[in-house]
Amino acid sequence: MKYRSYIFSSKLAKVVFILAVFGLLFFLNPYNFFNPVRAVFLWTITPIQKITCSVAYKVYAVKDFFASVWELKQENNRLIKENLELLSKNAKLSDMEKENIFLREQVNLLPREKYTLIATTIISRDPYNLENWVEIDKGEKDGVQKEMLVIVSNGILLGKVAETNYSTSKIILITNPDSIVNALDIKTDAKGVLKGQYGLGLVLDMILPTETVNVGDEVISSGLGGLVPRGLLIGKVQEVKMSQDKLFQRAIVVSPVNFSNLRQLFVIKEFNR
Amino acid sequence: MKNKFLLFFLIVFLAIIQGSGMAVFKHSPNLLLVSVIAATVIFGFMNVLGWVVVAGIVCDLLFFYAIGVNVVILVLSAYGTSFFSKRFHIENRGLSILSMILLILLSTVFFRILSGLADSHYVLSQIPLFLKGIQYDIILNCGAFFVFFYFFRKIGAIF
Repeated sequence: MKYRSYIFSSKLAKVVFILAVFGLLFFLNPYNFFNPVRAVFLWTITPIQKITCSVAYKVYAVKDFFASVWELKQENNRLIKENLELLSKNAKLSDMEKENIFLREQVNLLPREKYTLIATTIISRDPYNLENWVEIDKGEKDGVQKEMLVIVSNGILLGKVAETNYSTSKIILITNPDSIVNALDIKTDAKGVLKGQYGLGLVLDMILPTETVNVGDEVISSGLGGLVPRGLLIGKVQEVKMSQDKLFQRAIVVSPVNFSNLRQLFVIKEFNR
Repeated sequence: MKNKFLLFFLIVFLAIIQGSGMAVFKHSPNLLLVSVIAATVIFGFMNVLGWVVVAGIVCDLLFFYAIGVNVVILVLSAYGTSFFSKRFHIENRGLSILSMILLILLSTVFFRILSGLADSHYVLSQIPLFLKGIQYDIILNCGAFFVFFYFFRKIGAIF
């Protein structure tokens, strides 16, 4: 009896008990069961998150300031913004050029995608540097729903809504391996499936060996499947290689967006399919 | 009772700082992990076990993990720390500081791999990806560990 009580009060026994209980919880995964608790918890702390986040951005800006010469910083910021706009404009124009040729042959033209956007601010992000997700300050009360797409400045695809709470939502970024988007090379029309790689970048996979993909080509969403509109810029091809089984080509794609210092995002509420 | 509330708010505050503050920077210390390790070294495993579970649950809720993931990781880290510190008599002197750094190194790698695996649905081939840039995290975690270590030593018997 004494021996038994010693076993159950020992350090190892307690650890095993806790691991068993929480391991079971995790493997049985009653994720939705805890969602109301999570929603209330997140709703309670959202104001503190907003304040913390805005202080962090200010600290980041100060750090940034000391890290660079003032004029260079200004110029750099302006050029980055301009570059993002031009990249996205360029992608849209290239796509429109092709679309125009195609549409000349068609009757009853439909208008290009027009988006209804919800402007949001990031209040929290993946703390383990894997660039998997961010949390935004808009939720169900603002009309955000699961699977809605998220973009940054002028149509650069960033991710999609994975979870919604009353006042906040979780966005999984395209760098998350769970995120899969049908994409194509603007210049050559080579199609593939775009997957994330834990903050290391993006891979355009499953490209047929007969198709051509060149380094520097822009990659956009292909619109296949209808969930993602065609023409959202994803990035530029950095490297092309064959898959290990030599059946497909794989292109490493680099997004023009710096995920680590993003602040403002837009959720696409509606778009014309 | 007052202390318990204070500790709970400290844990929530650290988690918020981690997710909403530190995560803005490309590399940041894992505040909850290092505070758990420092508290285990100073106060002993059995005295902090309950709070480690609370910290794990707070992380799971805040960082969108399924409930249990961070609890398991933090409890294992605390147990490993207790096991290690008993055998190597971790104190603030000479070689002991090296032992502490080794402890942080092992905990950081362990934490990164387990949280990454939980995130990637246990795809073992992804492990090298989770360890990208870990050297900066280890350095930052070491710095944060010593801050917590001296802080906990100063405030004494909070638990």
